[in-house]
Amino acid sequence: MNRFVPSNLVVLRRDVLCAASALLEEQVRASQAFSAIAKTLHRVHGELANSLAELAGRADADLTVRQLARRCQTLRTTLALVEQHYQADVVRQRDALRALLAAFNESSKVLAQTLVEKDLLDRHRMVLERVVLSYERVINWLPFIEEVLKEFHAIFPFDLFFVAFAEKHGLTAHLFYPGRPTAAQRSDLEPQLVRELLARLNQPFDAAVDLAVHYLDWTPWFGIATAQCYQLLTEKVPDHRSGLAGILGVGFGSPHARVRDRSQRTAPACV
Amino acid sequence: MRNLELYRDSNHLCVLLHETEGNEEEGIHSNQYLILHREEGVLLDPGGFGVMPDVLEAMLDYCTPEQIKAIILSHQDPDIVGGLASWLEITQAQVWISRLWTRFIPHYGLPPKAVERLIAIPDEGARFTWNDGTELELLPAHFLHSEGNFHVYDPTSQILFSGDLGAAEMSSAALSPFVDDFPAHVCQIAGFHRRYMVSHRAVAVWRATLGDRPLSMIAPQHGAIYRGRAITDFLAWIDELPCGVDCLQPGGRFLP
Ligand SMILES: [Fe+2]
Ligand SMILES: [Fe+2]
Repeated sequence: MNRFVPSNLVVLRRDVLCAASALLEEQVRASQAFSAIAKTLHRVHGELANSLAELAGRADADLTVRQLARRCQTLRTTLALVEQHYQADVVRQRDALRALLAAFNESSKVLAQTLVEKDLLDRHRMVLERVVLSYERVINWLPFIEEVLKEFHAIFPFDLFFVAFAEKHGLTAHLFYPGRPTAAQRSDLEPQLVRELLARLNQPFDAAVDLAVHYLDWTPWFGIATAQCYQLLTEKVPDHRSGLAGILGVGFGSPHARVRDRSQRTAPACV
Repeated sequence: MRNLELYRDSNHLCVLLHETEGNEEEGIHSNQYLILHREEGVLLDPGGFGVMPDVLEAMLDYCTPEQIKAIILSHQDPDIVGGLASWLEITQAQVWISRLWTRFIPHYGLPPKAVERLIAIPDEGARFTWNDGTELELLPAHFLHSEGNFHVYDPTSQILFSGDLGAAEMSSAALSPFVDDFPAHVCQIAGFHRRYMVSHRAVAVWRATLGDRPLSMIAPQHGAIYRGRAITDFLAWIDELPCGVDCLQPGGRFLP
């Protein structure tokens, strides 16, 4: 979940997960209470059954006592069966609830991510196209782009915007930060971003990179501290519009992204 | 308030899990912490009965129950252990607690065979080791307030998770999650520490145990988290505090 996810989805996720785990917790408690009661039942019933068996075993025991002793023995078996059945049910329900929690958690995360991506791409394709089309046609490209990004940022508060083109000598990339990240934050983010761009543009990993960094000073930096938290959304520049092989996209921080081993991160979802 | 990340680097995360808000939690409000190191998690003092759903929901943002390797309990109180049975059902975690309490914990009602997952911490403390060899220190803090009591010191984040020490008796929903102005905070903790902490000597012994470990935060089980200047202010205050048996008078009265 991150700050771009619609709030009603966040609430729904929280309510469902809380309700399912509250059920699980109640069930744990109910099963403990049942076990305690069953234990007492076994004990008391056992004492009664033994007394009756002793009475029934006497030579002068009448038929009724013998019958009662037999029924008491049957009841003991039945009680054990009821408890066994109940506990098996508890285990089944607990496993089902655990599976439900895991599945709902996972699918709500996927849904949230899909919504963010779809929303962004649907609503802002025009903005992205303006960036691409202007690249070779607008003389004062940078001020023009900064204006476009100002509008874009008001609608979608990205933490990073980039546009990259594969050219004869290698890769030309422009990187726009809203605000000014620290040098450490930049050195955490940028090498991974460059690797990602080269891969997406089918360039060799050691291709020359001409990286220009721009700061959009009309806003302070709100980005997240580590590269692990970033999600990248890229869009190939349509060749027929620009005649260039290129890519552009945005990066946005997801503060709840997992701490993961770098080697296990999956591209291109994370930088 | 939602989850509050106290420390994050590329492999290590310390987070105060979504605290229950306002009147959702009956009784005293408590803090539950998750430490996530690469793919392994440790839960600290997971809370009383009824708290688990909120904590689990918050935890799922970061890791699955299968990733929780250990639950570390600072002591045996119900606001810490009351929900343990459910955590034992949904995780495979081992539970670390003072050797004094391992035979009492089953009285909270644990699932079958769960007793085998209890690890008795010796009086001198212990270390929890992550898969890559990094450690958490379980530091003795006996009689602060429980007879068998441990703090967790995380050398990576330099956070001391201090159980009830430093705890404030308040509903934190409307308050800042951090203590920045200790003199203004004292009124929230003075009564609790005078009555619940056992003695000045217990504090002095704990201070000697803590030594000169660097502290970025002191994160108690109730109330706001100490950082910056508030850490040294708190330590200076507790060093001088008469408490518990120091103040006990005939007739069950306590010196003010
Ligand atoms: Fe306590
Ligand atoms: Fe407590």
